[in-house]
Amino acid sequence: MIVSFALCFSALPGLLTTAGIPFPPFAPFTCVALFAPAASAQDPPRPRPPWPRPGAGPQGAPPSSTDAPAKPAEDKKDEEKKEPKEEDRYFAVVGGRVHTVSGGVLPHATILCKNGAIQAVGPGLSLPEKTEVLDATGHEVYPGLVAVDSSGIFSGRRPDDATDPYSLTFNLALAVGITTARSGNSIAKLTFGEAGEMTLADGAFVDLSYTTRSPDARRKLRASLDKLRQHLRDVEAYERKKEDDPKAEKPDDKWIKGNDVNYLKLLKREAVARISADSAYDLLQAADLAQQYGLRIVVQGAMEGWTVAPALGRAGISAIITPRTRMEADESLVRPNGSSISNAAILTAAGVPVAIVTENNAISTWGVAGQDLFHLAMEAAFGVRGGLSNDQAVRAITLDAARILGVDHRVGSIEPGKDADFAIVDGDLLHYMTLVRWTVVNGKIVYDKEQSTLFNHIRPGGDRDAPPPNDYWPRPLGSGG
Amino acid sequence: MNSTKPKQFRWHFRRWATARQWVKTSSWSKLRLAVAALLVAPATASALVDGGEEDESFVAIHAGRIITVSGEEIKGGTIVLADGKVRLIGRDLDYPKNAKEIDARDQVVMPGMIDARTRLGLPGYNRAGVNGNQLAARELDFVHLDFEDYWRAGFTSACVIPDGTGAPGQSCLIRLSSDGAKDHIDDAAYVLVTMSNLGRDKPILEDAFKKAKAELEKIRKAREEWEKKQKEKAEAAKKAEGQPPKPGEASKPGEQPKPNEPPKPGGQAFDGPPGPPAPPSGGDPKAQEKKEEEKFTPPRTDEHYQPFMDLLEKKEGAAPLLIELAGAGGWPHLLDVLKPYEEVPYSIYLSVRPGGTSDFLYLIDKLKGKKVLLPAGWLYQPNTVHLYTLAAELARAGAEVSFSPPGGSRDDLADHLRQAAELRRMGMDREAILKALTLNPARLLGVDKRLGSLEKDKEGDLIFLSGDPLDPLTRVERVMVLGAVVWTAEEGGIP
Repeated sequence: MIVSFALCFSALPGLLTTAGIPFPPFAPFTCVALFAPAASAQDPPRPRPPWPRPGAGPQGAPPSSTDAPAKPAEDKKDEEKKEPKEEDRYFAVVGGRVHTVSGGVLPHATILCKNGAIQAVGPGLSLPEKTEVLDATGHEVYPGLVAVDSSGIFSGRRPDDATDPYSLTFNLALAVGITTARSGNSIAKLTFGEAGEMTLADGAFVDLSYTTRSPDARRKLRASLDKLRQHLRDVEAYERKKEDDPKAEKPDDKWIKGNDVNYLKLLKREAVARISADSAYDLLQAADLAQQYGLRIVVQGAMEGWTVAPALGRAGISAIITPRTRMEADESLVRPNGSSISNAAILTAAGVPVAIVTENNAISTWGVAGQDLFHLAMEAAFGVRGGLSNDQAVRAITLDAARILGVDHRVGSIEPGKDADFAIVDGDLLHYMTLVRWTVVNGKIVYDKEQSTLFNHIRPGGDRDAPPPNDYWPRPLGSGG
Repeated sequence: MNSTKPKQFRWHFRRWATARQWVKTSSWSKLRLAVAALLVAPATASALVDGGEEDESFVAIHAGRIITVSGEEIKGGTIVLADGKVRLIGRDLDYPKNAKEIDARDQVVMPGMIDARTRLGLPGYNRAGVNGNQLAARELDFVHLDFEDYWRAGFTSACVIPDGTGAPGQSCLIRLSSDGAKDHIDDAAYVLVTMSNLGRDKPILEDAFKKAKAELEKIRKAREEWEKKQKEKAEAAKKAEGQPPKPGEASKPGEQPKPNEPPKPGGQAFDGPPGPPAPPSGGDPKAQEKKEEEKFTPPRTDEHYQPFMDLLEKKEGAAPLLIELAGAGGWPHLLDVLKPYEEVPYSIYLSVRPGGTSDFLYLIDKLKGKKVLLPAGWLYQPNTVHLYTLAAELARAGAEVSFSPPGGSRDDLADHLRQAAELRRMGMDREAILKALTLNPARLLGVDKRLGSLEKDKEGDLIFLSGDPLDPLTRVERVMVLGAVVWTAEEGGIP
């Protein structure tokens, strides 16, 4: 009975924390004093901030509800400065089936955007004068796709430094509906023809090396984390002592340099760690690390994640996976191993947020056809082949991908307050015959299938009434006379 | 020599040509005449030797067709130049009998073309970073240049750029006259800025403006400190009026104010030469006050950034920028760099190869009202085999288009008019092409009051063509710079 009472008490902090009530700091001492539990002394649970946004700190506000029109995002004010007349720029998509991702599918809804941000979504909205209207009747409106990994689209140390916003790769990425991509450690939007406001966030992940192949690195990492965790404890103790004893000394933090700065951010849950792990053992090690130190971890690869999905779910780990990755199972092993097409479905069922990427993170015309960034939607469709639901598959390339990158306050779904980035397609996004008809970034049409000759001639539906393909890419110019 | 005396003398000479008139003249006039003759004899002698063209030399050109560019074309007209400047254009003109006559009745006369961006065949070198103080003019000092290729192609002026990337320096506009590169029209026509490799060049341009702003701040702060000091000095002088100077004050160095005030940083705040030197101890305080009332000496600033500082201050006569773009991608980045600074005057150079591929078609709508320099010719749209005429589209969209040959080789120069003819064939407006060859480069360089078209009071740099300038078979037959023929084509030679 005493043991069960002890267990109750030690579970109490956890229960109260999940209920959202900040647990009084002195209670654990009460626990220890009265019952001396067998487990090692636990740190007082730290308040858990929402999923951190790189570069914005833990206090980023979640988007408002679907019904209330929100004020446009502060970042859009820069666009107003550029325009000589200070009018608001309105853009509306009418007549399409809107897949909000976060709030279900709205047939025949209108999306009204002001100065590049979504202002309202719903049927029968009245539009202000001078609204640029895009008639998407017969089309499906999805949020712009988020490529968690990309190369060849942006260049330079930061995307705003040296990216050519008119390049062919830029055009092709927009032609397939991608409006946000991570390049290196920066997350940027594909603003066609504009530079200077591409970057959404600068520090995406803190890369950690934590595999069986380098036990030394693992040991060093754990040692650093232990040291930093002790430092955090000292700082908290100092904060408490400070009130009673004004002469208390603040713990020295000058030794925290280089990687330790990032590790401290991880411990405070202000940053996200990324670990490349494919084998079940490595994944379990990552889960263990997450639980022991309370880190937010994203696992890249997770090929055998389907074998250890519950453990990953409990540890709060997210995964970036490629459904079509193949590795033959080793029959000599007893445990299940190798790749599985159902990886995404099993992980999602276990509560692991999943983002889908392609094998080749560039847009390429060589290599294995269909496995490059151009076929992001197809990769998600293969997740459906493995058991993922259609909605979950679309989430994996929109909202969950944005959430893993920490930019879901700006992109990833169609809600008021978010950026006006849409991929308007002529069928179900996950169908192989579907092509993008328009792409909108920041409330501007940046790709129009019929105005560009990239894919205008590809008409799987056999559209006989449409005008013949326009011969001049990227745009038709005044007739030579 | 431009005095009126020799003219008067000659007039008198003609007036007394007959013996009877000579006899009638008073002796006083004769004496005056003799004195005048003695005084001006050497000048007169030389005038007579040169044929009487010392003061106002006139040249009359009878042309088969005159293309003025700014006005109407004139068939069978005459151009009268005085002292190398255009005086009259028209038909059946009156001009002095002593004018040099040039018969160009089977030729077309138009203003000489201006190459607004060239290296002039000078040797290259590698200079990177911000070097706004470097002048291309210095490269022209001791070099003898042969302008044969330029004259043959129809150019009478050229703007020489410094070599290098980033902000390599300021260009120099010269007239291609027969005595080499000595006739500088403008030593600082524009500041060249390259934006070809964005990763390398964009930070350099950002740095140039940032540092220029910082240097201006430095000067402003120093000026404020100096003004503050002057005010305090004035107050101190007022208070000390009527009182004899204390021995302690006289011995202090000039920088130090009254003893009860904290000592100012003085010489340490300034990078450059310090303020007036401290007078010797025991000197007259009034004398040292006088020295300090000198003008404010600004601290020394980095010369490399001087042209950018002038542009930010909007100084009169500051050289504008010419920004070279290698691709359409450079334009949004350029706007990004210039966003914090108001109205920096600049022109754009589009670096394309006629007959090559270019993605500048994305910028056609965006360059309205801007001065754009580019080689003449047609281009391919990227990743297609479709042609487009970038220059024609830009002109139609409202940009001020000027042409400049892409390189300095003889073929590039000789092809210049032929590429312009290609554009005419592909539908560009004739007037727009002629302007782009002559008047618009002059406007870009800021010399359109002196060059670029045939109008009264503009300088007489002309070319004589064997036919219409936009006819591919036309050759340049004669080049005239400031009223003097500097080059004539050989008979029957290959153009």
